[in-house]
This record gives sequence, structure tokens and C-alpha cells, in this order.
Amino acid sequence: MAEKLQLKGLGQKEVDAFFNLINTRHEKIAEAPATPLQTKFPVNELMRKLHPISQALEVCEIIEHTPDVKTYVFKRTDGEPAYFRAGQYLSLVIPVANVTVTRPYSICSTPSETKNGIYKITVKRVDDGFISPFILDNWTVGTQITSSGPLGRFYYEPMRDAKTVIGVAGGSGITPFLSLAGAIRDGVEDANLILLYGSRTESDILFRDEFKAIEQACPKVKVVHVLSDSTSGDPTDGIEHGFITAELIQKYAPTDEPYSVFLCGPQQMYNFVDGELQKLGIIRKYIRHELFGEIKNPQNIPGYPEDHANQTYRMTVRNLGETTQVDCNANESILVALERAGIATPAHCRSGECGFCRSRLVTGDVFIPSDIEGRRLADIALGFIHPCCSYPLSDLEIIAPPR
Amino acid sequence: MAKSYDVVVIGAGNGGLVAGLTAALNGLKVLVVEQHNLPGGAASSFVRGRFEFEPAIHEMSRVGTKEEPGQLRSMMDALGINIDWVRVPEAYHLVVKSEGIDEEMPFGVKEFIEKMEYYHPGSAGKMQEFIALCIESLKAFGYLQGVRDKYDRAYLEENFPNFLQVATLTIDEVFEAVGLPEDVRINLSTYWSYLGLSTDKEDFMLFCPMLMGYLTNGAYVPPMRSHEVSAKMEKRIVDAGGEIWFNTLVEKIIMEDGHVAGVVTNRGEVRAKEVIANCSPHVVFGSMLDPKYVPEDEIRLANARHYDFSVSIVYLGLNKSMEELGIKDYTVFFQDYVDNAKAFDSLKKRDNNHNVVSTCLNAAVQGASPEGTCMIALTIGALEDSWSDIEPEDYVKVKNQFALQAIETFEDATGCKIQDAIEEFEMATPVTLSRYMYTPQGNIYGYLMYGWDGILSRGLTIEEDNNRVPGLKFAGAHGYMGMGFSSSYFSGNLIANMSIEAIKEGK
Repeated sequence: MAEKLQLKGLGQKEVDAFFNLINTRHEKIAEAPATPLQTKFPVNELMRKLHPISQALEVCEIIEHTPDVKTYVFKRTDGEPAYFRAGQYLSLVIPVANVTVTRPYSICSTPSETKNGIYKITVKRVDDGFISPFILDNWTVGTQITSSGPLGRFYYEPMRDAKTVIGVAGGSGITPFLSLAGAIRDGVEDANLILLYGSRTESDILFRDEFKAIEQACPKVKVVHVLSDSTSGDPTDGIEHGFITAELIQKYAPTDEPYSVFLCGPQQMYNFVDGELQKLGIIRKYIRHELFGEIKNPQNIPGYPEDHANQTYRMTVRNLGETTQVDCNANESILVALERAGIATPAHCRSGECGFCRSRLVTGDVFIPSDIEGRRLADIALGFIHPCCSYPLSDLEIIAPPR
Repeated sequence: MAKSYDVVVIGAGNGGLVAGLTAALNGLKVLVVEQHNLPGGAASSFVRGRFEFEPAIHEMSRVGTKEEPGQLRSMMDALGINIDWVRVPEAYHLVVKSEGIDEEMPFGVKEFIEKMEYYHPGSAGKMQEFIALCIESLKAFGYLQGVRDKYDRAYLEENFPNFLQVATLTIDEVFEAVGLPEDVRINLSTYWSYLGLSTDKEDFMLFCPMLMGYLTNGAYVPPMRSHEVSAKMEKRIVDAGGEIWFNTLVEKIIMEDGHVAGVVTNRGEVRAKEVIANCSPHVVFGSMLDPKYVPEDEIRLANARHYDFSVSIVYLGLNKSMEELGIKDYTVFFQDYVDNAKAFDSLKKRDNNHNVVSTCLNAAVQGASPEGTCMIALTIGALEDSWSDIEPEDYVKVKNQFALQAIETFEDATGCKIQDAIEEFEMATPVTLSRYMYTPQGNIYGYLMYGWDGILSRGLTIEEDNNRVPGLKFAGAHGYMGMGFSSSYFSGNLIANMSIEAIKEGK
């Protein structure tokens, strides 16, 4: 028998309360109203406004910059377009030929423009590309597509970034900066933007007038065009020549305070500019890269094992309890193989980061470029992969999620 | 033809995963359906730059050592989930700056009492009595878990006379009955936020097993974040012949002849003998089940309950080490008030909510982030609608302002300046949690759990609560053991065993 403790003021009443607990519970339930349960919750409703699972979009206007560069203006047909942070992207679900693929496109309109009900994206033709020629040649006013909510983290974050951002853009990598510049002008973002925008010649510059208008309206935004293949113009016109070097960055960057560098452009530009940033001793916290999308020809990446390029392998795909066999090419990601086979797989960033396509590799070997390893530690240990950046090196069996 | 399973589990949260795994390991055909693209619900992780953050867990109780395993380690071992659990260095560190309170408490019953005596001389005797009461209550709790409402009254009266007096009391009432000094009560109440309710209302019987679990078994974390536990369970469910369908939504529960017969998902209809819901009864009875099958008592029960709190969490990847920043502790509880009922009320609004719990994972897991860096998470409770009155365009600003308030609270109380070292910043609010966990109001703790709906009451009535709709049972935070990782894991295991039994008996 347990030793009796001195418990002040307690006695049989408390003991009875325990033995009566089930009755008390029944009484409390009986006393409660049988009115219909709450099914709408304000926090969840705000969440769906911010993070819709999908948005039905319709092209309502097309702005042709050149035959190879067009801006598509979308309105959302199933609600208000979700607000976003300048620099974010939409993952578009695009039916093309017999298959459906996804592509991430930076939003180049401003967050404030969602109040007018629109998003804009700009598409530039990539000659050997699959999707950009299709869009440019086929989309018309009235074309309907599905997109994700706004995604991605290539945005200005005052909790982390310096007050001044040096934007380094190459080619169509300019699009998120148009949104950021506009957001600064609109007072949505509070930062200074000095944009170093690399183009080959003046005729390759996108949004020149748009940027000029923003600069005129807002002293916090400055744009410098850096031309690699042209000698026309000079710094007084906002034009520099050559590449975006440490020297050039130093010329425009603040001297008395830290600054952040945001890069968006092709891989070659990252390789070059990252080296220049190293010379400047800029710490990691102040350098941000936008993702550059899927890698083609993985055999060109250091670390790729010999004798796999151009091979075709057999892949067993388990999805929703069904098993399918598909072919996969060593030069293409597993995600592409799934899309080619018509298996609807979720994917957004297509760069290894967002993890939306996370799948389990049951058997087989894959190549994953080490610098785009975005997986969780446990996933690496347990054999989960991101198909968008995994390339087959043998016959495979995977368990893929449904889209 | 619709696919057919023995058990369909709605939701791959902690409770759902263990339920699915338990059933699959028992040879049943199992399908776990999950809306998100990851397993685990709160037990997850996310990568930002060179950091992988733990989103939720501060510490897990009842793990214990390999030699002296706690209930959770034993259960995970039995399920074949092998984790190299890492022990957290200290129990807790309480800082109430306004009152000059700064107390650090160790694990180990003896050590705990000694440290309390060090801070509050003369307290050891009363602390011994209090711990004796806890030990007896814990034994009684164990007995009741086994027999539920079929307890032997005489046995209880003979063996657990002190427990019977405190079984339905609040934490504060027990402190008072034992005669603990005020300053000891303040220290002992530190864990209140892990319970979801202040000590003036919360049951002593929710507090006691948690405190004793921590003191006797220590506290642990999985080395690769809680996603490690979830991903290992995901893998093992599938290897045991089960299936998990991600990105899949259960729309309806199908009833036939007064018994659950399956579910309708956005992928089609699925047949099942048993359905285990690892989600809110509000959702199940409000949206999934045809009103004509919803027992009136379920509606009344749900209406009688209140959602417990959600949280906001500020995640910081810092480009300096703990040593460089002067950070010493794994967990620190910062409170504005010694009166935690006041602190609880302050969670109803965002402004001046300085009730922050900080964790620095690097203090427990060596190499949790790269050399010369560390990670901090600052957690702040959020009650009711404190995060829904925001326009989408103001959301980021509101979030950042709130984050800054939490960071300043941390800096102010510890003297560690961290703002300039922020290399990665992420913040979750109740809105974020509702996005990834799909819970009403982004709540993480299910319903408030006390008094008539406390852990004893839910435990005694577990069978009737899981049998009002034949074939439909509940696991996870909304279930009989309530909130927290360990509790959700245990409830998943027990509920699955009830389903296994029901299927064997052909019910």
C-alpha cells in the first residue's frame, strides 16, 4: 500500500470526482450544442489566398517585343491571382504535343498588379528548346493553362539581405528584376537596386523603356546595361562594355556599407560572376542565385561516370498502386522520362530545390550533380531522389508521387 | 474496380504513419493517404542554402538509452525504425527577465531536485514529496492505460490513494496541495507551453507523465531532423507491402450497412474495412462523412471542444558558430510573466508577445550545420485568430515584424547578438502550418486537453470514442493521448492495434 502524503485540503470529494469522470464527460458532451460544425477556418482561408494549390489562367494580352520574345499577360479565371513576392515564379502546366510538362517562369509583373487581376511572364525563344518555341508559336489570346501558386525564394528578404541589392542579370534572367524594380518603385519593397544587366548588344536588351521609366520615377533603382559584343554607348547613357567583373561591381556598389548580390541568368554567367564575387570577398549571406532550371547533357558535368551517356535504360514506375515500365535516356532527367511516358508527376522548380517531385529510388543507380543537391539528409541516406535533377545510370525502379 | 485495403489511414502525420506501419507489419493491406507531398506532418525538415532546419520538434520524451529504453524507443525498435537518437544536454532553461529569474535545470530526478534546492534552498523536502506523488500517479496512469474503464476501484484505492486525490486536479491545485513554494512552482511550470495550456487550467495528469518522462529518460532528437523518423516509416510501410499516396485528398468516407466501407479520394474510390483518421474530427464529421451517418454525440463532442494553439516559428541559419555568438543552451524558455495564465492570454495577439522558446540544434546535434555556423529556432504560441486578420499584401511585413520582435526578445535576454549573422531566414506562422499540415487554424496540438476532456477522460473512454461510427478511429493529436510527437506515435500504435483486432474478429 502506498504511503499517504499530506495533501492540503484534498479528500473524498476529489476521489469521487475521479470515479465520476466518465459521467462528467458524458454530461459535458450532452450539454454541448448539436449545431453544424465549423467547416471554414479563417487561417486556412488566408492560406489558400496566399498559397493556392493551382490557378486557372487565361492569356488576355500578348506583348511582342521581338518575334522571339513575347510577354504574356494572364488573368486568373478561378479567383484573384495570388499575391506574391517580387522574384517568385509560377510553375505552369503546359500540354504540348501528346505530353504535359511543367515549366517555372519568373513573374515579371509587380505584386501590385495582382490587384488589377494580372500576372505577366516573358518567354524568350531557345532555339533547341522544347517549350519556348511551342509557346511562342502557339499561345494566343484566350489560351488557358493551369499554374501553381507563386513559388520560389529569389526575393528580397530584409531580415537577411543588405539594404542595397546589386542585381546581376543575363539574357532572360532579367525578368524577376523587372518585378523587383517595380515593387521598389511601388513602395512594396524597401531596398536600393543597382542592376547590372548583361546583353550582347543594345538590340538584345529587354524592357529597356520599362526600366528607364522606373528609374525616372524612383531614385532607388539604377540600371546599367553591360554589353559584351558592342562598343556603342557610354556610362552616361547607362551603358558599360565587356563582362560583369569585380571592378565593374565595385564601381557601382556602395563603398560604406555591405550590399547583397542577386544573380539570375545562365550557368556560364554564374560561373564567371561567382569568381568575381570571390575576389571582392563577399560573404555567402550576401549572395543569392536564382535557380537555372534543368540540366541537359549531364555527361558534361564533372563527376559524371564514364560510358553512360546516350544509353537507354528501363524504368519501372510505381504510382498510386499501379506499375508501369518506361524507357529513360541517360542524357535526360528522370522527370523528363516520366513526362515523356505521360505519367503526371508533380514538379515545380525543376532544379533540385523545391522537392515537389521527391520520389523513392527502389533499385538502380542515378547521377545527381553535387552542386544542385537540394535533398534532405535523411532522403539522401534512405534513397529518396528529386527526379528533376537525377539522371539514370542503370535500369531503375522508382515510386513516384501523383501530380 | 476500386482498389481494396484492410486499413486506409487518412493523413501521414505522426499518428497516421505509426498506425499504417503497425497495421502493415501485422500483415494487413494498408493505404496511407496524404495531401502533402511529404510524410510526417510536423515531423519534417526543410533545406535553405547550406542549412537543413528542424521545423517542429524541440525534444522527444520517453526515448531513454539503449540499455534502459523508454517507451518510445522500445516501440520504434519494435516497428523496425532504427534511429541513433541524440540526447539533448539539459532539461530546460527558464528566463523571466522582469523578475530576474534565470534557472537551468538538468535531467535526472536526483539532479533535478538538487538543482531546485540550489536555486530555492529548503525546497528539497517538498520536491521529494511532489516527485513521490508523480511516481505514484504515473504508475496509476500506466495501470489505467491497460484496463481503461474496466478498472478495479478497490485496487486503485489500495495502491494509488494519493493519485486518486489529484487525478482530476489542475497543475496549480496540486502545487498548492503539496505546498510547493511559489518560486519552485514558477520553475516547475516552465514546460507549460509544451502542454498547450496554462497551469491554472491544465491537468496535473498531463504534466506529470511528461515531466517524469523527461527527468527519468532524458530528452532526445533524431540526428537528421524529424524527417528522418517520418521517411524511415514511409519506407518501411512500403517495404511491408503498404502504400502511401501523396498529393491525394480524401473527400468522403463511404458507409455501407452502418459500417465504414472506404473512402473517396481525388484519385478515385478506395475500399477499406477500417479507416483511421489522422486528422481533425471537425473535418471528418463536418466535411467527409455524409451528415446522415454522423452521430449526434460526435457533433456535440466536437462543439464542446476548443482548438489548442498553433505557433509561429522563426528559423535562422547563422553564419557564426554558437561559441562565436555566445549561445550556450539547447532550449531556453523566455517569458514575460511568471504568471503563465497571463502568458497564455498574451498568445491571443501578435503585439507584445514575448513568450519565446528558443532551440539551438547545434547544442544537441554535433555538425547539425556546417563548421562555423549554427541554427536557431524561435517558437512563439498563437491562439485563436491571431494570424487571420491580415491582408495577403501585408502578410510578409507582419511576419517580419513579428520575427524581429522574437529575435530582439532573444537578444535582449541572452545578450547574444544574432541579427547580423542571419544567412538564411524563414518563418512559419499558423498560416504556414495550415498549408503543410492542413489542420484547422494551423493548430498543432488538436483540441485543448483538460478536465472532462483531459488525458484520463479520453483514455477511459477510448473505446466508445472510437466506435461511434463503426470502423472509424482517430490517431494523432486529436486522438486519445493528445498532442506531441510521442503521444501521436503512441496513439497511432494503439489505434492500429484496435483496428487489427476488429478486422481479426470480423467486426
